[in-house]
Amino acid sequence: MIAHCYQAMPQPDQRRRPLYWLLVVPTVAPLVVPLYNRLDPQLLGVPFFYWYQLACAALATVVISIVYLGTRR
Amino acid sequence: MSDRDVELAVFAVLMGVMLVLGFAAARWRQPQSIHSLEEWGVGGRAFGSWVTWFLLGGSMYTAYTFVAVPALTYGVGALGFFAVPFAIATTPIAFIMSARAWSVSHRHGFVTPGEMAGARFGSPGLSALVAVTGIVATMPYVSVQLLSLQAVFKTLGVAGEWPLLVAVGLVSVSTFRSGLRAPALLSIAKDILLVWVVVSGVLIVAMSGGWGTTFRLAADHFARTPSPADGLLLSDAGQVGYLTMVVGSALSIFAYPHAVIAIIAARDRSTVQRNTAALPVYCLALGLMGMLGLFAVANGVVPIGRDLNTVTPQLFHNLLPGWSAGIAYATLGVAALIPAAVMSIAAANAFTRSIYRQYLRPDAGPAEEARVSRWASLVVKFGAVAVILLLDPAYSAELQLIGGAVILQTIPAVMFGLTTAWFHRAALIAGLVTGLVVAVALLYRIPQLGPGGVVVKAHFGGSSWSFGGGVMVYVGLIALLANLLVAVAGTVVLRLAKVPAGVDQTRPEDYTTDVDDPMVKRLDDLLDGLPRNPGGAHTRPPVRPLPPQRPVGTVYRRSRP
Repeated sequence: MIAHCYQAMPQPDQRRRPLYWLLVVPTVAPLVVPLYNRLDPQLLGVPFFYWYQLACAALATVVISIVYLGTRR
Repeated sequence: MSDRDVELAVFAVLMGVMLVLGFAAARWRQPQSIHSLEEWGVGGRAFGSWVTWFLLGGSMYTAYTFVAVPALTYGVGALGFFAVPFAIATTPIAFIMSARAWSVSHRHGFVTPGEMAGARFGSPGLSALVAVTGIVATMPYVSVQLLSLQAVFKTLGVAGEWPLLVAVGLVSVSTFRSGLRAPALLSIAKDILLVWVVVSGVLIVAMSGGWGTTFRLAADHFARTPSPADGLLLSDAGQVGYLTMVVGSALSIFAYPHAVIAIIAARDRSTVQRNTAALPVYCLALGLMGMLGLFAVANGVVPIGRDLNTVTPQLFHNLLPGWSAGIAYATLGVAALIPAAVMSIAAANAFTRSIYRQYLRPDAGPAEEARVSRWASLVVKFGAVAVILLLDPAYSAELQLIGGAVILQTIPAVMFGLTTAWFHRAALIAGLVTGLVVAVALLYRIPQLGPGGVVVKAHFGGSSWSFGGGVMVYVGLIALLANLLVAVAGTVVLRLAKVPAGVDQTRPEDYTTDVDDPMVKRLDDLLDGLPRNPGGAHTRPPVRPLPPQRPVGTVYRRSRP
């Protein structure tokens, strides 16, 4: 009975589902090892391999925040 | 007073303050009774955004971060940096999964992953198996923390096993008394100290010629070593191993019972989601520590007695003034003890909920549950000490990876279980057992190689399986693949044979429900003196057919202004 009522209720976050696909970006970005396994370009003397992965952390925070704000009920 | 004495004094005083905090935590936020498992084991499920952030950070970014990761980059260079991408890749997955875990746990009163899997697939056996796997996997992870603490003691010149036993003893007593509140409160103190360590790390590098010099000197060093596997970049073959370690660890980190605990102790769903968004901030600290390992290489830091875990403490000793190094040591010490406490609480809860109450004493009351968990948490801590003495790997990060290979096998039941009930319980059990057998069999056959390829130790010497030509694959992923094959094939066969599957005791909406749902149980009500059955609704046995809906009179509703 509950399940029945549930289906009848409007689902506010269903419409915003596409936003969740954004999460693929920060998941995949740190996994493309062959693309970032290189020294140049350097940033403040730090090889690309290292600063790219740190940049992925910032990217993850930004994207997850967008998805959170966009899907909040 | 020598430099060493100052270090030791600052370290001792700070650790003493932390201990007092740990004991005082029992009074923090005034629980009505700390004698129920809810209160002791999940902090009463009432932690807000800030405390949750500290607790999640405190239990997931551990001494492993500050000791094992620099040790690994010091030893092999780029390969050791794998902890950074894995910590990042795991957050988007956690954003979705942890919110679902929060909801279903609060709807049904779960405190462990085993209970979730058991209810989803209608199988107490699966629940118990997940619990046992979780406990076994947690022990080497606790060991990593204790090894880090031991490294600090070694650097301070306090040799032998006794300081470690004293520290474990003290933290056990504090956990025993205050439950999850102790590590939660200490995490806040730890992160304040952590800021100090990070700032001084950056300052050291800046004063020693900056990152450019660091990486140049480290590159020279790795070029001189005979090993082809180390260097500032990954070798072509090394990339496979790197990727499999990243993927395997990213999947496993939130499957540990202690991660689940930090999540479900949060106040509401958005607290959990906001936290996963903010967690990558810790990844920056993790990356910095990884690069400090290379800085140690560049500056010729020499570990004590070939124990690479002493690289970080030695670095602080060489380059910081005594009082500042003392603060850094205390940070490492607390960062080791907090997760050890949370992990042992989590493993103890798993035992109490999925085994003790399920099979030994089905009618155990909340006070009895809490008592059993307290004693079980002691067993876990001292089990971890035993793991150290038995396994003794070259890099303590390997211990974490070995634990990861074990916990990964619960992914189909726990993590997939959060989104689907398709799997058949018997197939999941068969898959889990297959995965564990494969993982342990492979781990057993991995030797530890010393310089020049000499076998130092015949068994349990690492976590990656060599496919020849330098290609290494993380054992956890191989075992997970076997696990999934059995679980999927088994489910198809059992369904075709019409073997009855377990009854799913959860409903789709259980995974999306939030705190404003009247069916969600809150601890506030328990604290406010509303519960009608002693101990609260959380202590109902969770693994049994869910009643359609409790009568309105017993629904705990929080009055809102």
